[in-house]
Amino acid sequence: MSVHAIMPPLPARRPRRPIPGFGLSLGYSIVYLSFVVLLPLIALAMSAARLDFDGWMRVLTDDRVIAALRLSFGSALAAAIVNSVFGPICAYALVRFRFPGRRMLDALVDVPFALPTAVAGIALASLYAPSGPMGKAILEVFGVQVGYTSLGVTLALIFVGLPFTVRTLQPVLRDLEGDMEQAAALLGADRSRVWRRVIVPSVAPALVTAFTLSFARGAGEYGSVIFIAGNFPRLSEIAPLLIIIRLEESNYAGASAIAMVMLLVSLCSLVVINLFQALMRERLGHE
Amino acid sequence: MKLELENVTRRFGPRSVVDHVSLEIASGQLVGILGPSGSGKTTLLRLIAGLESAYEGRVLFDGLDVSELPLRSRGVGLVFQQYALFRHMRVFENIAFGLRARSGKERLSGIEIRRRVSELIHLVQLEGLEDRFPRQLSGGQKQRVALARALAVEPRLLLLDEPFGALDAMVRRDLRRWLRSLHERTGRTTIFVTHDQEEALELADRVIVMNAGRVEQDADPDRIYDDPASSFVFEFIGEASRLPVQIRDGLVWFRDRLLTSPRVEAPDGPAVLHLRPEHVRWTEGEGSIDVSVIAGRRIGPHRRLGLEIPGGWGRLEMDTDAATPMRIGDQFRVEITGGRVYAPSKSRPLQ
Repeated sequence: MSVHAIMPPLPARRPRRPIPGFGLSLGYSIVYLSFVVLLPLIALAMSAARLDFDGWMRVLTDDRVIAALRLSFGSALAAAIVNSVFGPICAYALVRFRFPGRRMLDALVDVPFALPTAVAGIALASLYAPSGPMGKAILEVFGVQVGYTSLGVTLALIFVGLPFTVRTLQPVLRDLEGDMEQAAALLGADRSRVWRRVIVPSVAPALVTAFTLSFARGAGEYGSVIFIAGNFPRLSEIAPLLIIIRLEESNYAGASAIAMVMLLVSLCSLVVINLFQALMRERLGHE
Repeated sequence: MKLELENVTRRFGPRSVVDHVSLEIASGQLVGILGPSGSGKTTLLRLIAGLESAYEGRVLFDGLDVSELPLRSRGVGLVFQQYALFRHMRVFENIAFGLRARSGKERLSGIEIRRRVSELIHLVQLEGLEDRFPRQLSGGQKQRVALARALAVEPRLLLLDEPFGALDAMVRRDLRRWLRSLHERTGRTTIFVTHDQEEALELADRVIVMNAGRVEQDADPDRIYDDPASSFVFEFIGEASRLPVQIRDGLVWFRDRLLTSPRVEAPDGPAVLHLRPEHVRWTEGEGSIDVSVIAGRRIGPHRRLGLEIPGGWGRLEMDTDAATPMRIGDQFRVEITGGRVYAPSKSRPLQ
């Protein structure tokens, strides 16, 4: 009798993954994200749900809330746009050239990351307040007040968002060999054409990521903004501050409602940006 | 276009990577710069392209110093070693890039650009791949896109950096032949850099052998192979073995035997005889050397034998008919029918 006749057929085995640890790492990730991200969000939604329809309408039509939301997202957008221009230029200088003090400059980029936001806030406020040295000079020369206005808010958000754009672009620019730029120049392209047609499209997805990070950080920023903002209701009061004011008034549902609106706006922005990014990757042939 | 280099030197720190190189390349030549890695050949090419600037000396295009000319006005087409294709552009746009970059009177209409690019795509045999991105192409295809892109602007001078380095043997051979015929059709002055001696000898009209930043020899392929100017060139081009010999009155002696090679221009005393496999022949005659077989490998139609001279006197190589039966340990006699002895200044010491 042959061996095959007595051996029962082997059960079909699941193919093994070549890299071990899939179950463990995914399990950890899900548990971790649930506790740190998902549960707090659910709690927020439940808290906001205590508000009835009229309560929601009151929050949503309150012009102080609308002004605060507009300021937070508007200045975050403005700061992200500014950072998406100057961050890459800064990253380019740090990556492409060797000059004395390069490492110092490189370290300086991290300061907004490392500095406690309140410290940054006080520093900016004392400098750009209408009585501060820079604030005074700008007011005199350009007739524009920086401190205690939306411009001051944007300035603070540029400050906190800059390292995100620089650090996102640096590795991508480093990977983009100088060869491509040299090839473009030898083919007759001038500097502006090299930037427009070669460098920017090559780093475009990273640029969008950098923009997103700066925007997301800016929209929720609190500590570095409140000092320079001056916090005049409907004028220079940011949404996170309004949430805190509501909390201090023991209006928990109202605070949650504003928070919920911020969450939804942020989520929608992220979805739109991601779709845009996917579209662009396809068009520009990025992997 | 005629290209001249006058005493061109490029240093990186204290090291001269290109050391006082002077060259004149006539219009329409196909020149190969050959050398081992670190010999300065790529730096020389980049100096000609303008991607590096010389510390000393001048680069002249048709008699005009181009040192201060910006890259985009040089009229140089360069095919980079890693191709440097624009990753975010399709094949068509890669090739059209140089045409679209033109300004003023030289500007072409969209239709004209389309026509020119189609011609080039036909020339490099990439029909049907116009809409691919570079990452969707094979190495040989990328290479041809890079070539078409460089040719699109009708450069005065075409430079290629290790053009076939990253390709497999078959693709290499095809592309080499294709490039040769392209050059014959267009007659554009072309310089390529390679570390592959076979490639340089097969493709170029003229080969410049570089070593340690200097030109070791500058001649046509026949001269380079038959009459290497130094022991470095001898050993870099083709297979070579070395034999310790004595020179007496311009005659070459191996131990007590007079070798049949001609008189040499070297001072009396110990020297090194450089040999190629074809300089060693099986014999029964006088003045011959005893050898025993220590290795054998198949090279095309021949079998190349590694031979040892008993007593630790040295090793030789020779080619035999692949059909001749030969076993490791077999002993016979060979004679030396050629080879070169270099003056000490042009020779490296025997280790």
